[in-house]
Amino acid sequence: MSLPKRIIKETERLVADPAPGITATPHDDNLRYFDVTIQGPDGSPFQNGVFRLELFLPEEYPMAPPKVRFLTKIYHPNIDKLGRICLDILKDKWSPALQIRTVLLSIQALLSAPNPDDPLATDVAKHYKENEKDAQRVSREWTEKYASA
Amino acid sequence: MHFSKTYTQLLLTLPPDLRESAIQYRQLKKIINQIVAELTSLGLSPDLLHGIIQQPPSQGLDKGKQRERSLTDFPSPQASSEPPLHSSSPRVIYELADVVDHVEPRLHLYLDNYGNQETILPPDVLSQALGFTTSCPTPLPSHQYAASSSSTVPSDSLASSDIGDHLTTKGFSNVPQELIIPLVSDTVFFRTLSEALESLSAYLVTRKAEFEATLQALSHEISSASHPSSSTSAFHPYSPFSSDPATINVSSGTLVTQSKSDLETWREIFRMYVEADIFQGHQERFRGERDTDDAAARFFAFSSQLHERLSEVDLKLKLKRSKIALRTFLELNTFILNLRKFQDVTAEATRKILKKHAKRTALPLAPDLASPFIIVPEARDRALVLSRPVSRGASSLSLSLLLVQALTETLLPIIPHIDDYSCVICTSLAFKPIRLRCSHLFCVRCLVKLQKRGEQHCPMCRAPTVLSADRSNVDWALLNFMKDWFPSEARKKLQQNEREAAEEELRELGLEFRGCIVV
Repeated sequence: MSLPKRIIKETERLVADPAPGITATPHDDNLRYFDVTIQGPDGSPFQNGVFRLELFLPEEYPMAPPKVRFLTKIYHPNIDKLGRICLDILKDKWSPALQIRTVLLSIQALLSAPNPDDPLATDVAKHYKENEKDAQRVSREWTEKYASA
Repeated sequence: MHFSKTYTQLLLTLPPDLRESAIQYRQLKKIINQIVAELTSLGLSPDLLHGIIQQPPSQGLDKGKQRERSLTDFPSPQASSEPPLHSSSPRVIYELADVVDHVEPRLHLYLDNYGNQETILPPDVLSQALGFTTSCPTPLPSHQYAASSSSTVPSDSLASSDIGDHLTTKGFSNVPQELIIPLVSDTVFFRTLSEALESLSAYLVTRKAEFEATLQALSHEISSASHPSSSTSAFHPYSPFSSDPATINVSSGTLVTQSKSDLETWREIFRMYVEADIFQGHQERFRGERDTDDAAARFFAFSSQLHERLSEVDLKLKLKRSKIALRTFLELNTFILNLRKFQDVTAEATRKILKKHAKRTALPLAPDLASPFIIVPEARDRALVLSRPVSRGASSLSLSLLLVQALTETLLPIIPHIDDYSCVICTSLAFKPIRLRCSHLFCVRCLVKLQKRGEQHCPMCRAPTVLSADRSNVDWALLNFMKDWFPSEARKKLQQNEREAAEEELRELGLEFRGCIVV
C-alpha cells in the first residue's frame, strides 16, 4: 500500500529539520511506525533525561490521531505504568491539522506542565497534589534511573 | 601571519571595482609608524606609555567617554572628564575630542607634583613635553577643575602664563596640573580611516541602487516569461452561474500550460533556490545569516545542480528572455556573495588595524570610537557600511542581508507558491477549493472525508462549520486562480481525487479489492 503524500512530507521534514530536543525515525519495514526520543525540558524534574517513545500512524491518519506511548518509565501524573499518555489532542481534541511534530512538542510541553487534576496515574497524581516537592524528587530520581542518556 | 598579505590576496579574488574601494591597510600601517615616531619624539615612547596608560581591565563596554587609568586604583569617573580630585599620582589619559566632523586624539596628562612624577617619567620627558606644549596646560584649583577642564581647547594660549603663575605661587604642591598634547599623526590616522570608510559607504550606496534597479528589471522579465494561461485566449474561467457546482467538470485536458510560458520551470528554479537556503538559514537548527564560506558553497551547489538539470531535458527554459533572466539572477547572487566576502575582509582589516594601532602606540581605544568601527564577530551585522553615521543608524542589518531580502521579496512572489494554496490535511494543492464559513480552506476530498466522519469542527479553528458546508462553499475565484497558476498540480490532484473517491465507493459497497474490510 502506498504511503500518503502527507506522511512522506512529514517524515522528510522530521528527519531533515527536527524540532529541538525531539527525534523521530521511521522504521525501514514500516514507515508508519516511528522511534521517538524526547529530551526532558530544562527546569522540569525530567531535565537531562532522554525519554524513548513509540508512535504509530493508523490507516485513517490524519483523520484519526497517531498512537503514542512512552517506552521509558516516567513518574508523571498524566502518564501511566504502560506509558499511555493522557493528552486531549491525542483523543477527542485531535484535529487533522495537527502533525507528528506538533503532537511531540505537546508531549514535551506536558512534561513541563503536569496536570494532576486530570490524572491517568492516580497514585502519582495524588502524590503531586499532596506533596509536589516530594513528587518532583521522585520524578527526578526516576529520570536519573531510567532516562539517563 | 602577515595580514596585509592575506588581505591583498583576498581582495584579488573580488571584482576590481570592489577591490579599488577597499581600505588601504598598508597606508594605515605606515601612519601607525608615524604615530610611534611622533610619540617617541615627545619622549612618550610606547614602552613608556604602556607603563602609564594601563590597558583597561576587561570590563566590557565602558560607558564613559574616555578610558583612563592611573597607576593607583582609581575608580574611573563616569562620562565626564572630571579627574579625581585627590590624585596622588600622575595619570595619562588618551582621549578623543569630537571636533565638528572628525575626532581629534590627544593625550591628557594630569600631574600632581614633580616628586612623584619623576619616579615614573624621566625628567627630560616632562620638560620636553612641557616645552613642546603649544596646547593648554591649565592648572586650576581643584574646585574649579570640573567646570573648566571640559572646555579645554588645545589652542588656548592664556594657559602658559597661568601655568607660570601657579608654578611660582603654589609650587607643585597639591594642585593637579593638566597637559594636553594633540597627536598630529594620530589625527591623520583616524581621518584616513574614517574617510576610507565613508567613501566606501558612499560607493556601496550606489551599488545598492544599481542592484535594486537591476532587480526591478529582472522582476519584470521573469513576470512576463512566466505568465499564466489566463493571459491567453484559450483560458475559460469557471463560473458558479454557468455550471452546476455539484458536477464541476474540470476536464484534465484543459489543465495544461498551453501558451509559451516558463511558469513551471521558474517555479522549480525558485523552489530549488529556496531549498538551497543560501544566505540565511531557516531551519530549526540554524536560523540567521550563514557565514560566507558556507553561503559560497551552497550557492555553488545550487548553481551546479541547476545547470545540470537545465542541460538535461528535465528542466527547460523555452524562452530566450528566461535564459537571459536566469543569467542576471545568478549574477545578482554572485554580487551578494562578493559583497559578503568584501564586508568580512573590510571588517577584519578595520579590526586589525585598530588593534595594531592600540598595540604599537600603547594608546588604548576609546570606546566611543571603537564601537562603531570594531566589528565583533558576533555582531557581524554591524559590518554594514562601517562608517559611523550609518552604523549608528536604525538598521542593524548587513548590506548583503538587505540585498538578499530585497531579492527574495521581489522575485519569489512573482510565482505563487504551492504551500500557500495547499490543503493542510492532505498537503496537496487544495483543489477543488472549499472555503468554510470560518474562512479556512480545504480540498473538497478532505472536506468530504471530514463530513463522512461526522466531524463538525474546523481542523484549524474548531468552529462548527464543517457539516454545514455545501456546494455554495466552493471558492470559485480561487478555483480559477489555481487552474491558472497551478495547471499540472490541479490536474494531478483532480485525478487523484477521482481515484480515491472511486475506491471509497467500492469500499462502501463492500467490494473491497484489497481484501480486509475495516469498519
